[in-house]
Amino acid sequence: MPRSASRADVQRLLQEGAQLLEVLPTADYEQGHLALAESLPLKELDEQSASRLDRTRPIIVYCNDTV
Amino acid sequence: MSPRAASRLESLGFEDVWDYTAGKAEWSAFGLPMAGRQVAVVADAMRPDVPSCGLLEPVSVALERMAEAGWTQAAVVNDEGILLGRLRRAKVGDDPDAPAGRVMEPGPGTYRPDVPLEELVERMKSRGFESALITHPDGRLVGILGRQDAEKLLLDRRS
Repeated sequence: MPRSASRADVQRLLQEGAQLLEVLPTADYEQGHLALAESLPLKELDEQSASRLDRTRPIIVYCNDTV
Repeated sequence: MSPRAASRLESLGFEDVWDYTAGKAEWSAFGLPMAGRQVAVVADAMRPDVPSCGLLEPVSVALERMAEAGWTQAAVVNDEGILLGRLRRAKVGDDPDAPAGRVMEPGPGTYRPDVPLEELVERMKSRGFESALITHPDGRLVGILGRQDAEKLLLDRRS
């Protein structure tokens, strides 16, 4: 089960080398995103698009909020 | 959306997945680093060195800090840095020994670091104020925005 991350968790995990993914549509990403985040929209998330991610490092996903 | 994305990643075999549920809205509201943003926001022009004092500190101390920092207002905060009130130089009365908490204006209006700068400048112009206190969503004081600084930044961005 994915763990819930607080703001402090995100900052700590990023310092430890985690990958940060914005899962909103690309247009939202382009209007502003967390520094260091890459775009991987939920609608495009499949085996192929996920193959570029590093399985050895933690992954943090986010959108606008919980919607 | 992010809970579904996190679960999807797990279904694809990723084992160390975290969901930052508060997301972009919270991160931005706390003034944390953003990239790719095209609109200037308050965090881009605010200054962190806002003069402040505690509830029990005398007004004279707050006035000194205002003078040193070059502002006409000071924030009154508790030990955790939560904003409780504001002192304006012109409205602190004539007793320099009065505790700040007794003469402060309680509950001043504040703005978040992620408010579009242009929007706030327009509001400052229409209401005639030269500076605004900036807080995080949890009430913590993080800075002060001067209208001149904001207008200069907007002008620089346009040129």
